[in-house]
Amino acid sequence: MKDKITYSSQDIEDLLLNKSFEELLTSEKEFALTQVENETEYKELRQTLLSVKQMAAEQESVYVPNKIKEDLMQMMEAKKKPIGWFGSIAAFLFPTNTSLFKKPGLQLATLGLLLLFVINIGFDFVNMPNKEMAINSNTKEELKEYKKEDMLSEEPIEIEQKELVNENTKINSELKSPELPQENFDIEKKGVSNFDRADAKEIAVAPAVEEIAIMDDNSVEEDQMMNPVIETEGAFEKITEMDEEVTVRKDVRIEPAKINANTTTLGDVNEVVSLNSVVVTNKKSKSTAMQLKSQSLSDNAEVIDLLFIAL
Amino acid sequence: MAKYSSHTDNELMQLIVERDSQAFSELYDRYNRMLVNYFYKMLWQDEEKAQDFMQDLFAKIIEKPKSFDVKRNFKTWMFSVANNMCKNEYRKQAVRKNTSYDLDENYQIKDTAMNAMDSLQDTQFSEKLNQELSKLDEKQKSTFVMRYFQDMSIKEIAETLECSEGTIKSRLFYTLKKLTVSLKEFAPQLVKMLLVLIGINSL
Repeated sequence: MKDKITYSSQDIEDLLLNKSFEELLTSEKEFALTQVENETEYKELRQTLLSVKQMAAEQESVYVPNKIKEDLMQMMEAKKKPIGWFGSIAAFLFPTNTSLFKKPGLQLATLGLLLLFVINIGFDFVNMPNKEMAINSNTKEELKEYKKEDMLSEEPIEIEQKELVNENTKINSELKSPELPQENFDIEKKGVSNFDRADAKEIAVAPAVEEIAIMDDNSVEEDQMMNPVIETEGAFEKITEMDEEVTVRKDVRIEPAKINANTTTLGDVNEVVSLNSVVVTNKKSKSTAMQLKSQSLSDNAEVIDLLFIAL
Repeated sequence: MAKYSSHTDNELMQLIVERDSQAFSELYDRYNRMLVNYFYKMLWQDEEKAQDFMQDLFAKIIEKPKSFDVKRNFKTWMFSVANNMCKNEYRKQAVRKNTSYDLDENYQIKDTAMNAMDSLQDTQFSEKLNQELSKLDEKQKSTFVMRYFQDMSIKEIAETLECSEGTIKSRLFYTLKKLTVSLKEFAPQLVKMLLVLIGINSL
């Protein structure tokens, strides 16, 4: 009776498959008879079960055409293919069947970052001392002088006649000296340190000619500057100290008819002299400008002040 | 292909999720015959239908490989999908024929009557068995086919059909009883056949 309690339908299946009714043990027979009505039913069930098992074993498999597999593999490949060029690149850079550190995308990104570090940070580190020297070699004052020199040398400053006339009227009041010659003159070159405060004596007055002789190269030689018709030594010193010169272009003319023989003032002359063509040029080259000292800077500042006031 | 032969079904499914076509090929080779035979038994021994259903099942695996729960056994998961496909097909046929099982049953009864005199033939027994299987309840049929035609264990069937092992055992036993009654006319032939095939002298 113990066996009856533990047996189940799974066990009756085993009995049916492995034992005929005659082969069953007493306990097994007792259990079998709880599942079937009688011995005959047990035999019929056994026959059916064995025949089914036999049939299943002998049954030929249903034919499976190869086309099914081909179609499925094509479907699989179609799913496998990435969409578009971006997808193909992404699939190449980040394949799914590799570990993280074996992905080419990650490796390339690491290499790129490394190169970026070497180029930007590494090179800057190497060149850092040179940069510091370059910065320290140029003081702010010198940089300012550079700018001023550049402005004066590159861009000619033209002084309008009206403004100059107005200034000359001031000078006229000062030029009341009877010592000035009463002759017409040519102004070849005039060095003016501070036009605003220029003494009348600083202006060279040449003998009367119809046209003002002009140097072709617009440069003033030192000996020429040393031979003004009327000029004081003090004034000349100022001129020589200057780095700029005032020249008159060829088209500058003085109308002789308007030059009064009694004219003694520069203002009278300048009224008819077109000073639009008076050009202030830098006498020194850029290379020499590097050698400027603070003293020359102050002189230049005077000229610049003059020009600003004139403007 | 050889490198995947040692992989388990679940490992192959993980590779299929990652779009490994060779893994899919290996899995197909393992289960295509098993599935087509299952569908053949379940779907009225219609060979073309069985092939179509088998192809559809593998297509579903390709389309949605992530639907497979890696915690489950692949074989039982696959047969549960196949069983659900069969259920849907039964419903379709029922709607189409309104009483599909009755029509089939009538046809099979007629067929049985016509071949009563030739019932001793082995092939006829096989046909009769298939006919009787078609008459079975869907649950009984699937359980019986899985157990005796697919050689699945009670545990696997229980997992596939999501019921207890005791339920499967009792279902199998009562199905066997039902078939025995239906195939009673083949008993003398079965006795002879079994004596020859399995060498049993007496039942």
